[in-house]
Amino acid sequence: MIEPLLRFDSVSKEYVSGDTRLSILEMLDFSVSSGESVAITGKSGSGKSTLLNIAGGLDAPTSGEVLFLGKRLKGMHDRELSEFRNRHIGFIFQSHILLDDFSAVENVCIPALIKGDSRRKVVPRAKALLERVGLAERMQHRPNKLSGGERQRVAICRALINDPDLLIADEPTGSLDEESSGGIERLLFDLVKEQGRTLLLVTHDTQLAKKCAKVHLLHNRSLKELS
Amino acid sequence: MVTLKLAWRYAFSRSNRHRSAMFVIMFGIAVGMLAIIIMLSLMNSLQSDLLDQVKSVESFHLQMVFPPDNIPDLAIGDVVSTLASIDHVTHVFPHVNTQVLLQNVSSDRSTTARLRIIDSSIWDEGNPFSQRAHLLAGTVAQGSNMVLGTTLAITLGMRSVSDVKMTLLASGKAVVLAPMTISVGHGGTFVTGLPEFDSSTVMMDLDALVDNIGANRLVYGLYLDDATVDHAGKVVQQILDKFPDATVRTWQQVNSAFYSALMLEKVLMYVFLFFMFIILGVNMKNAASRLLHVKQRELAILRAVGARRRFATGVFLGQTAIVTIIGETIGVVGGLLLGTHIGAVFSFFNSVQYVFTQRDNVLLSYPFTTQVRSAEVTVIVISVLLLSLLFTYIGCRRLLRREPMEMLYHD
Repeated sequence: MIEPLLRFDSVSKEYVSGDTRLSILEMLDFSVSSGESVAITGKSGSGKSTLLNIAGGLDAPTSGEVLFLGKRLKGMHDRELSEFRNRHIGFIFQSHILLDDFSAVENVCIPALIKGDSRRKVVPRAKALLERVGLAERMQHRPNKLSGGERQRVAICRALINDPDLLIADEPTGSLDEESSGGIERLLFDLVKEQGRTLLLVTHDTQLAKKCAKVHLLHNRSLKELS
Repeated sequence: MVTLKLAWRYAFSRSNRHRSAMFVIMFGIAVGMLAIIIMLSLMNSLQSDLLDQVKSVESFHLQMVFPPDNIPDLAIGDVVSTLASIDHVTHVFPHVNTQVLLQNVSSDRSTTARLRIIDSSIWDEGNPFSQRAHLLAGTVAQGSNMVLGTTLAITLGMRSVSDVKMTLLASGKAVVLAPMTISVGHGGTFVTGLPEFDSSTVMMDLDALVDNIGANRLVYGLYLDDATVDHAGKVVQQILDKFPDATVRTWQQVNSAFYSALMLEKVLMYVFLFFMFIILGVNMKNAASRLLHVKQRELAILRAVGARRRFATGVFLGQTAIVTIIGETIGVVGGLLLGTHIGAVFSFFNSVQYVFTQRDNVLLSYPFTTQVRSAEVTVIVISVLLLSLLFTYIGCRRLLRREPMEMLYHD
């Protein structure tokens, strides 16, 4: 049997605030295979982003196991976990968070420079990605000089620079207008298709979710496969 | 290299929130450094000036006496020549210090004083005493004339033509023995900068009085070259080799009470500086927390794209180092500039207040000087840098314990 790229084994997540325990996810079992595009939908506050953060090693489950290519994320040393995030995961956040003090091309380069690649090798790659997403003229601009859609395109390039195994997108069009949203959706799915990427997407936009091969609904702390 | 580049970019961030935090931190460090350097160098200067006055005017660098019952059968001049031939000895002045009762014949005012009977050549030769002591009026003590310290002259109501009755007191344990009263002329008035010395001392020429005082009360005062003044052990040994029965005391021993008090003051000064450091440290801790708080979101992004805790910490340590070094440079340059021109600064303030009060302010017109010691400045610079790095490290460590998403949500 082929090991899935990502597997959740009985994953639960609780937040504790004083005496109050808030259960977000409960005994989730779910997997993503290589090359798949999977969407997680659900109401606001249902725990979609938490699930995504746990999948990307940005948050830890309260109980259960997350396995990436058969390797447990739990108990990983900071060095291993950082390396995992850097090399295997590409994050696209809802609010297209970029580093304000760096230009578009520098923002794209940062994960690769952290990985240890030389600047000489990284910059042409970053420029090629930015050209691919239509930002050839905006490479030296800082985030505050870019529109919301442009910033999200930079974030997509940043997520792709290290050639990750899994692309994780948290409401990638959530903060954009309709026109920009359509552009970003097209770009994202074109890139995933072109490069044969695995995509794990969280959205409450059912139209966007339908573009994925599999759709899961997160409801009452558990997942149900819709298609 | 990436760490340094990120640190550099963060240090000169264009974000308004970050820039204002950086400015406040840099300004705080610069002002703190400036205050510490000025205060330290002023206190150093005051202390060394005081010690210099004591060494040059009050006690010489070394004092040698023979035991009263075992005075060598040598002329004073021979003893002086022998002492002057010792390496590092630059001048030798035999003298007598004795208590006297002074009475101004004209005004009938009287007071006790210490009479220093010393060769009048001490005023003319280039030696530490003549560099410090200055005649304000009259001429040096010669013949039966004497010169009085300024404060003492004022106490006695001396005028240039006044005569003084001087009663020499030979001190005993409980009573004053064998007083001898002579009339002397008031030759002049001197000032040394040592208020205690000027208020208690009269000076006369050795030749005029040595026969009355007796050689057994002679003390040989020696001046040494600059390199040996504070470490005179070898010179003392050479003196004892030539005069085994003599007692030799260094200026530190002669002024042990005063010297200890100054050392105590120095310790207190360091304690005071330590507290200034604590205040600076608390400010830097708050500043480091503020800086990290401002960049919390960036820290979370870096972690999300794969930066290790060590990498993220390195970036912020680098940033702190850059900011601190710039703040320190401004503080040190400002401190040195202000220190060098402190006299002019006080003088300016004195002029400003004079416009309103029509009086010179004693404090502001005091000829302050500063003495910057590069070793001390270096220690302060390194300590402040280490302190700011430590607080940044502690802040980073605390912040990086959180998961990256937790940091983002808390932004």
